[in-house]
Amino acid sequence: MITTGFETIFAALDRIAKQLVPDAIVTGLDRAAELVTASAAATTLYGNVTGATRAGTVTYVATPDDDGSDAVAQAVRHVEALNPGQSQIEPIAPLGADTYALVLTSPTTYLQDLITRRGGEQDWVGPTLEANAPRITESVAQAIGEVLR
Amino acid sequence: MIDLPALTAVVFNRLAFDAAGSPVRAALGAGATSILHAAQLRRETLPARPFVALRRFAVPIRDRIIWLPRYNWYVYDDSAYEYTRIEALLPLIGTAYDYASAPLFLASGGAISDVAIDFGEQTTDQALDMLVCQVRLYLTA
Repeated sequence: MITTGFETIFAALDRIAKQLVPDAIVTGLDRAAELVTASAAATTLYGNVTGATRAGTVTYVATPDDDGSDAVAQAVRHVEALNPGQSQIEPIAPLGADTYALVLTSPTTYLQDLITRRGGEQDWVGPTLEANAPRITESVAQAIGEVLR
Repeated sequence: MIDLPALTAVVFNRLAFDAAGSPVRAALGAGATSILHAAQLRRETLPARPFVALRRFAVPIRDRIIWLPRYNWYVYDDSAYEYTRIEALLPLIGTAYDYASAPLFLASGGAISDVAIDFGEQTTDQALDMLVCQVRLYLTA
């Protein structure tokens, strides 16, 4: 007869809940970020005047411990290289515990105008995320499944 | 497969023609003629302010299941009025799509099962030189 103390079971469940699943969520979102960036880069809705918006397009994962500032800083460098002085960082709201975000943006001073003008005629941010929503969900689910097997 | 033109027409007509949209029409510059599709924003002459314009955004489809179609109403006004008239219109538009009191129906597919609504921030449309706010509708068909 094999016996296992409840403490062992609880410890394993605790590890799953507090470490394995959260790490898997980040893994799944990181994989999805690559898909989203590629999808955004293919849009024809960029103004294509300087190329800065396209070059500065970034998709990153924000967590309670990582606000994605490194990824944004790299995107800013791309923008500045093509359109000096026109980079602008819009910080996201602080995330609560157990909250994870996939953020798609391009840190330019004119992004808000670009995606708003003429009733969203050139809005590529929301539509890119929406079009990829099923793949994002599937990526996270797959990553969680990998650690639970 | 859902009929997207029919769905867009249902969403548009809610403000343009339906009884649930009459408070919205009353608050617009020229009633139903102040209700546009977003493609019409490229016209040289825009309607009396305030006016609204509708755009349908991407509809992700996977395994023949329609995910949330999103529609945006862009609410426009001249800067002379600041955001006063726009802010008054936002809740009227939201109420017009209240799922509990006035559900949307597709002739080919029955009731829309849910409509989630949020309002965007105050911003400007530099191309049109006007103030604008969004009302975002997230439909489950």
